[in-house]
Amino acid sequence: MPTIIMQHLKYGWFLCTVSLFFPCSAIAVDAQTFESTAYRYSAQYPQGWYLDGTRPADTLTIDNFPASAAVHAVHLPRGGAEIGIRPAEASPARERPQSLDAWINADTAGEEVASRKAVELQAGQEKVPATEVRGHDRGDAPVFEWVDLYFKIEGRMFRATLIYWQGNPNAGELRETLRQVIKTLRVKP
Amino acid sequence: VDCDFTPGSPSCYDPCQDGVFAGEGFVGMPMPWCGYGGGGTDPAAITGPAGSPTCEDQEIVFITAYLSRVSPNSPLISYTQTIVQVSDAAGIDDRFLIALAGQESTYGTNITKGPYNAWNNLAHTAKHNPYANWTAAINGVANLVTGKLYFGSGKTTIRSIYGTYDNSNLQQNPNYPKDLSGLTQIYKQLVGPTASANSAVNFSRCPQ
Repeated sequence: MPTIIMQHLKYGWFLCTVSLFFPCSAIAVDAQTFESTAYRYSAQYPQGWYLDGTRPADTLTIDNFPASAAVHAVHLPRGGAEIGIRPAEASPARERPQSLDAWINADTAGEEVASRKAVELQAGQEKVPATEVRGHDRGDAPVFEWVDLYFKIEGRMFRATLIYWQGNPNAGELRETLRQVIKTLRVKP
Repeated sequence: VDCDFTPGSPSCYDPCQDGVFAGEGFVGMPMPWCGYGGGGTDPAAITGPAGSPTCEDQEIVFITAYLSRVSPNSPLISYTQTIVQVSDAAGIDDRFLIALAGQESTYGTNITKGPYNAWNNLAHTAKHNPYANWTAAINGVANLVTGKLYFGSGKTTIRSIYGTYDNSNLQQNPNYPKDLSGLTQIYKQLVGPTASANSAVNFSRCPQ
């Protein structure tokens, strides 16, 4: 049984929005830490987000709603969102990607991709190049919209995913939260 | 009670005997994939002369026979072709969609969450975004499970999918272990004794 260590930290969770329109501001609130012993990484997530008890073993998946609000089948209530960060090693052996491009190509083969572009991320202590893929599930509305960020940190490949209902007016904030969680990512030797 | 697939066992549905289909109404029909998973032929490898049944044809017969046996009043019996074709196109085992409907609504005979909603997808209730027909419901569940929340997030086994689908948090859903067991048993009826809650279902029975 993998060990998940969660702890509340009186550690500043800095939501620092950098843009021309909103000055960079730091909001210190409680942050919680997830640590994966199996895959040797940790990350912090903000108050109001909950570790998803149904996540794949020992990988980070958080929801912006408590388990009591989960909706049968679709999991996400209206306004709900999920963020997951998983390393390539968490993929089944036969599906384990050998490169970021291979990973992206495998993931997007059956998906409705709206855009794919190169971006720069602050991941842990490093500024790293990343690929951002945005898209949505197939089918008639309502469907999920999602953002995937693929990047390497200290030589290891990660994919960070944000899922939310199409049309969510807070999508921009959710994407910023995704980036902030990635910023706290730490990889252990 | 686990189905042990003893030939003739009244509690089990094993449509294959000695490599041929033995289900009601289809006795003796060659089924190249009988035993698949236990040494049989991969349906993807099925080839035959022009005009012979395709892999999908045989899968439709198999699913139809299964439903006719376990749930003769199931409305899904008339839509097995859609289920198989949609599943193959989406990349999901059609037997899992059948098993999920079996667990959620007794194969569509006990629908309580909106019209055509045999999979209890609560994004499509009678009041909110109701399904217009069976085809929409079948496409809806296939798209959901093969989408980002499930397959796209690495949830490809029965256990990992249903843990989210049915909310495995025991405080919220104390029935979850029983529900998972029920789903797994139905899937085992369709697949055979090698199937388990850890079986991956992210594949087409008849790849296109």
